[in-house]
Amino acid sequence: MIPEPSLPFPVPTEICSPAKTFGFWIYLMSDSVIFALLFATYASMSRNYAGGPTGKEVFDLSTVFYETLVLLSSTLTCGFSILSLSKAKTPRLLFWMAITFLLGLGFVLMEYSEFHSLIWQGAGLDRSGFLSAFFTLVGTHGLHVSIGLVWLLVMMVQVVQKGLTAPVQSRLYRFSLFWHFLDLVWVGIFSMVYLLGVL
Amino acid sequence: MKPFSIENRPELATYLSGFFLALLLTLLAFGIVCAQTGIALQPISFVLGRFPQGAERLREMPHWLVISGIFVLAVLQITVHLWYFLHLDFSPRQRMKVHAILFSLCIMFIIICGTLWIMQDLGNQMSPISSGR
Repeated sequence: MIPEPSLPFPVPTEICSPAKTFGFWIYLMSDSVIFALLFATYASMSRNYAGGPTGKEVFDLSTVFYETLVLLSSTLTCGFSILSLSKAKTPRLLFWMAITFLLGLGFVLMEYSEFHSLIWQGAGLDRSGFLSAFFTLVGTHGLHVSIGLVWLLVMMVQVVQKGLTAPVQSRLYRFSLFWHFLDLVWVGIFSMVYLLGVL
Repeated sequence: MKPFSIENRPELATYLSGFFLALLLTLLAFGIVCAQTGIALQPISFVLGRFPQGAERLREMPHWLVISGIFVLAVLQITVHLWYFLHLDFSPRQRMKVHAILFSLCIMFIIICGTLWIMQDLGNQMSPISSGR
C-alpha cells in the first residue's frame, strides 16, 4: 500500500496559536496608544505656526493620495500572500511578498522625498511646533513601515531557507497583522493631518 | 490537513471586498477635499468634472459638515480595515481581542480628549504675546 504523500513539515491545526495572536494584538494596541499620543500632540500643536508655513501651503495632496493608494494596495497584496500561505504555495507566497515589499518601499521613498522637499523649502522639523509635531507623527509611522520592510525581507529569506515550517507560518501571520495595522494608522494620518490640513 | 483551522481561514473575497470598500471611502474623503479646495487630483478631478452638480453640492457644504464628514469616513475606513484585514468580529474566539481594543480605545479617548482640553484651557489662560518681539 502506498503511503499518503505527506508535507515535509508538521502542519499545525492553526497557523498561529491563539495565545501568540493575542499577545501580538496586545502589542498592536500599545502601539496604537503611542500613535494616539502623537495624534493628541499634533492636534494641540496644529495651529502653532510660529510665523512659519501652514499645512495648506506645504502639503502636497497628490503625493499623499498616491502614497495612500500604494499603501492600500500593499495591504491587499499582503492579504494575497497570506492566502497563498494558507494553500502552502511557496512560489506564489514569495511573489506576493516581493510585491508587498516593492509597494512598501515605494511608500517609504515617496515619504522620504516629501520630507526632503519640505526641509528643502525651509519647512523642517525645527521651523515651528506644528512642523515638529507633524514630522514626529508621520515620521514614526514611516519608521514603522521601514521596520516592517526589514521584517518582510527577513521572512522572505526564512521562507526560502527553512520552508513553511510552523514558526515561519506563525511569523508570517503576525507580520500580516502588523502590516494591516500600519495601513489602519495611515488612514488616521491622511484624514486628520493632510485632509484637514489643506482645508 | 490544512494550515488553517476552518474558522480563521482567510478568503479571497474578504480581502477584495475590504480593499474596494476602503478604496471607495478613501476616494470619497479625497473627493470632498478636492471639491472644497479646488486642488486637482487626476482621477478624482475627472470624476468631479463629469458630475458638475454633485461637485457644486460638495463645494457648498458647510465647514463643520466637511470636517465631521472626513472624521466619519476615517472611522468607517478603520472599521473596514479591522473587519476585513485584521479579521476582527464578534465571535467568541475573538472576544479577548475585542476587549483589548475597547480598553485601548478608552485609553486613547482619555489621552486625546484630555490633552486637547488641558492644552486648550492653558492656551486660553495665557496672556497674549506682544507682537513687537
